[in-house]
Amino acid sequence: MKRFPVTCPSCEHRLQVKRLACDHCGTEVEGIYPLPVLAALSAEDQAFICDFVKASGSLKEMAALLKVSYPTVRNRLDEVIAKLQPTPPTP
Amino acid sequence: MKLSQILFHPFVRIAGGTSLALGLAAIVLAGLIGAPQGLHFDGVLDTHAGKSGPWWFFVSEGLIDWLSLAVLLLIAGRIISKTAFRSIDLLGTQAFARWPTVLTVLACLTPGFHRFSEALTKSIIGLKPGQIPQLPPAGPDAVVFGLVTLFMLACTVWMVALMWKAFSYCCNLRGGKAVGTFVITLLLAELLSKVLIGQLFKLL
Repeated sequence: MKRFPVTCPSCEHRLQVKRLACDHCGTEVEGIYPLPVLAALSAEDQAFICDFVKASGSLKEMAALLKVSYPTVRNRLDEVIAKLQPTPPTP
Repeated sequence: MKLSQILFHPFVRIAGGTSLALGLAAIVLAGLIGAPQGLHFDGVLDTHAGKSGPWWFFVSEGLIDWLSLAVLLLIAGRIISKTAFRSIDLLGTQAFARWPTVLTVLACLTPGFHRFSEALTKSIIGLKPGQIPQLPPAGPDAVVFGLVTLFMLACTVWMVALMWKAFSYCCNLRGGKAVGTFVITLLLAELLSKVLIGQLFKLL
């Protein structure tokens, strides 16, 4: 399965969307659009967020689902939160 | 789950009420096995052979040791941690971290350990200043005493490693600030537990 690329393979900067296409009528739109915040996360992080939403945001339920302790899920969530924080612009 | 994770980082899977129940069971068990031997946990990091006494006294020593450190770490964690951790996780994992004390009391059941310990104590007590102690003769009891003492030391190091892991994992803390806070809190807890157990001795 092809993975959705989020970082540049050359310089590792975050990629942006340049072209969008409609597979129904073939219309194409071109421009520079930043990736949605969640789309920029890794597949594992996205899966974690999906599980978190499905569990109604209950860390306790997540811990039972993943068969790990509550602090393990809490720390994993903290990691994802840190990734969602806006990074300061590079000079 | 790898063996190293079970021994040194069980908190990936065990925390909260489960760790509290297991930890309290271990503290009570260590007190009950230690009571007839006179094995005191008279401080967060202390293990000393002394007089035996009622079982509740030995269990209380373990509970004071646990609560002294757990409550102080809870306060320290609330101050320096940015994550919303649960109190029961820290209290429970700190109780669970004391489970190597069960191995310590079991190791002290080895025949010869208390015999040599008593002989050693008698040779030291009552010494006048400058007087050289007449140490008990080296023999099988001395070897047992040495090996058990080394094992007890290893268990204490292991227990401290678990206490640190429990603190850093539950409060999601890393780095020098977290280590410094843990060390200072551990020393304060040692002092607090000594004072509280000193008060407990007055009840005997």
